Amino acid sequence: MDINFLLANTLNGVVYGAFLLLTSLGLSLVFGLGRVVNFAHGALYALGGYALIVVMQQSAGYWLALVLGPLLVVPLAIAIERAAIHPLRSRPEIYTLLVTFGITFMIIGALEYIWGTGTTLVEVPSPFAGTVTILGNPYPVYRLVAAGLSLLVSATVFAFIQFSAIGLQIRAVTDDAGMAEAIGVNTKWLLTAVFGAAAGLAAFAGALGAPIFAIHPDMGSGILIDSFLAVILGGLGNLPGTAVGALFVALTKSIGGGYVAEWSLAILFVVVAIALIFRPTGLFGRGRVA
Amino acid sequence: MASALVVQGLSKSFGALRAVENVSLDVAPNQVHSLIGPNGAGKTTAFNCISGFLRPDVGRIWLNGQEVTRWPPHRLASAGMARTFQITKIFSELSVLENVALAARSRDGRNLQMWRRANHCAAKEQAEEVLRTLALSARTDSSAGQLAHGEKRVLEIGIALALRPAVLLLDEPTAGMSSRESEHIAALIRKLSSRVSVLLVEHDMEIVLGISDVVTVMTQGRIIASGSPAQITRDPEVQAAYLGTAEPEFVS
Repeated sequence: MDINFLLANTLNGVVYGAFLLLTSLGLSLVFGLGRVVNFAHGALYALGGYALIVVMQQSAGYWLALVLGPLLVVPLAIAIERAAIHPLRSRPEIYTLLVTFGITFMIIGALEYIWGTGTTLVEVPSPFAGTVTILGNPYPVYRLVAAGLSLLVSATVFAFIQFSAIGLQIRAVTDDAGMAEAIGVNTKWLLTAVFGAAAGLAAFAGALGAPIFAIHPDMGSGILIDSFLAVILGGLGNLPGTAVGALFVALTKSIGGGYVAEWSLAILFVVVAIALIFRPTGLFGRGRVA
Repeated sequence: MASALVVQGLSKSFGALRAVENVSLDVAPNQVHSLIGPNGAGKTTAFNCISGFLRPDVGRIWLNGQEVTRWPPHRLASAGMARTFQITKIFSELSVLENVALAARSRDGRNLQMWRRANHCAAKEQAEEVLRTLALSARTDSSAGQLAHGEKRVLEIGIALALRPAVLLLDEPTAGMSSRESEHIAALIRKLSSRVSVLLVEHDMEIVLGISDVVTVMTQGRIIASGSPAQITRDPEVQAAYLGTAEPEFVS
């Protein structure tokens, strides 16, 4: 076994895991709050990539675009929530699942209509264009920087959920929405806000990952599936579990994929299926069976 | 003195079933007003309509003189109405303090204020105060899910209390409790009535008669009697409809 190959795949796995954490957190938060299975999350991730391009075309630098691009996606996501998800809140979960599934096609269709089906490359921003040597192997610096940023933002989200007043409300609604409503928490307002923030996180991941994974209209599909697996593994609505799930999915995919590329997704599904047979509420038990 | 809670002509049907029919109530300030009746009498349906969890078909509701008919629960909560549930409802994933602080917080808060750190701290102080009142201080940092059943019910009342309501609606607060725990809760409710008006739905006759100022009796969705505990126990219609079998219980 080539140890360098394993090292590269492990590093790639950790980097991908950091991105997956950003997308999974939003997915998990939105599900926990409103029992909304948001299939449009991957498309919002893709929108983040294109929003980056749009802002960069206004001759803004990469870093500015990385901040502004995702912020453009937030109001759009809020509009989607108000128009399409909000009216279906009292319906069974399948309704919002189908609607967000439809919205995904609309977004991807719009992206293809405007920018075409091709792939857009984004240059690695200075000063992180080079490589760094890890255990004798060169590795792109930007990947490590991006992973670090992802983890930083994720940690901020965790701290916000754990220590802020809004975070306390979010945890309360996730625990028992009816009860939270009874003591004066405006659950509808909260879901709209969190849906927007979650979309912002996904869009940020899309923009941050653009120099690594490139931009194309369907770029969100793969990470959407992986995010769902991470969230399901961690226990739906359970944030710490989601974090471990994200790392697990990313490493399984990256290391497994390094040796038997065409089997990587199959391996992942088998592993998740086995895990769920023994722990139907996720690896950490506190989640919900849905 | 103006009433804390007025319910007028409340009706609610589920299909052909008339669960609540023309129910009117008047809860005076600092009174314990109990709603009793056999299973299926419509107490809980009426309770849910009053607290905004069900939309009444007909009827109007006033809270402290303000009409609140068909308001959603969170609006009622900020207007001064708090409720507990028949089945214990607490946030089992949150700590005891967080449970109460959340309620204290939402009483203060319009959503924008929620961002302010100072308010968050003030809410925690209020929560600690409530926990002291209820003698739950020792469990401040425990996960609420790990409390004993009786403690959970006390915490539930603490959550409602932290909302600093004008009217507190309690749905069978002693359900599933030992008689000693029930007595503790009863004493607590009586004590609380010095600060709030209480509308109590309760099965335990001894408790109802012991702590209520006014008792309203429902059967089959309608009110058949309303008055002081002494009047209610003497009412022949009440005895025939409901209390007959329970009579020996309230001799003591």
